[in-house]
Amino acid sequence: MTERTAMNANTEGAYLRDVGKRLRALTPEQRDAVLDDVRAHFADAADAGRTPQQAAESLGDPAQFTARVRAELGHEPGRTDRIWRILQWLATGVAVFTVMFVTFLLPDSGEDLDEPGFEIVLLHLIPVLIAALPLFVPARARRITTTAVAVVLTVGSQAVFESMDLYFFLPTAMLTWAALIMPIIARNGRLAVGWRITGAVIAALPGVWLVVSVLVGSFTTDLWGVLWIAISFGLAGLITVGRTWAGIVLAVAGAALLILSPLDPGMLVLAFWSAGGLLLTVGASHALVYARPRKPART
Amino acid sequence: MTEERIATNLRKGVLEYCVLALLSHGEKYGLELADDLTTRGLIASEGSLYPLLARMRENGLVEPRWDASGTGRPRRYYAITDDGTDQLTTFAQVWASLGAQVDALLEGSR
Repeated sequence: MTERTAMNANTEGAYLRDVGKRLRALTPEQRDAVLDDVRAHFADAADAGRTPQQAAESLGDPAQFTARVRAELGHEPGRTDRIWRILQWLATGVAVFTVMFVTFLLPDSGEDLDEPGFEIVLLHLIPVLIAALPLFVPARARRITTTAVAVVLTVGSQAVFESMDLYFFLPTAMLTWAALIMPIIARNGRLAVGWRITGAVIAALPGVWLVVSVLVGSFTTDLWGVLWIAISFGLAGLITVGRTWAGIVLAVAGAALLILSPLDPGMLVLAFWSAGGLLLTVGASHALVYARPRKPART
Repeated sequence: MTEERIATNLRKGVLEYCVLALLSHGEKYGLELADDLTTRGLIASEGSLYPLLARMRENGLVEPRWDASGTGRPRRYYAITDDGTDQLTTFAQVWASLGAQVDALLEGSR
């Protein structure tokens, strides 16, 4: 290989590698097709007597070129970013609420909790800071940080520390997992049907729970119960077909459950709390993925 | 608005149909398409053609294939699909009536 052809092969190889790297968010088929286009372009340009440098220049630099590809394919770069950011802020917000909840609202269930002292509040702030951490690291370290935070919160929420029930941070952990996963599974715009059905099943759980309670006789139902079941199943249906506002309603219902669960100081606090967290996570994730996209900019 | 801005805005809406129209006369490879569009002043460079082709491919309007039948190296050709042909027909109708209306307005405003 002469020096010149080696240099030419380098230009093309470097361009292809850069484009491939920047199109990671696409499906492998989409990415391979674009890379095939670029390969063919370099070959055709060479046939037409252009140098690889000229061929690369006419495509524009890889950052600009791939930004155009993503825009055309509806991968507004800001979109998945926005999904991640809002879910991570929600996780942080829920962590703050959890701290208030555990410190001030949780009815003393017989464990000897001290007066909510200053140190306790400070201790509780640690999970809040952990949940907020991914929001403040550089973009490069974001995914790995979010993963670490999700794992720490999940494992941590199984622990009891100094009579402090960390289990209540489970909704924060759920939202962090959603912040990690949703931008990836929603990168092609809509959700695969399997994900939508999973969301719908979770949305239907409150309805299923009431139906089962009635069937086993632990509950008698009235008009409100019927309405409850109808709304739950209705939301599940709307989530399957991908309606944005069904997700918003589900998220609000989940948030309401989180806020209301301390008002029923029975054995069910923890169950209601976790269910609220789950509905909030699924609802918010769904609504964000199906939020009306801004029109992609074209050139 | 400058002449360039007006032209850019108008081209945005019609570019993919121009690609379909070019391909309706027979399959073409990328650079061939790009050169044709550049000569006609429809795109500034190849850099905006391939992203557009990516979307049209995704929407099933065009289909690429590697052709190794010639002498030399295989070439990547793009052909219009049946859906693409349907789209082009619809566009031609819309363009005819829209164009006529705009022309009529411009005539009247003179």
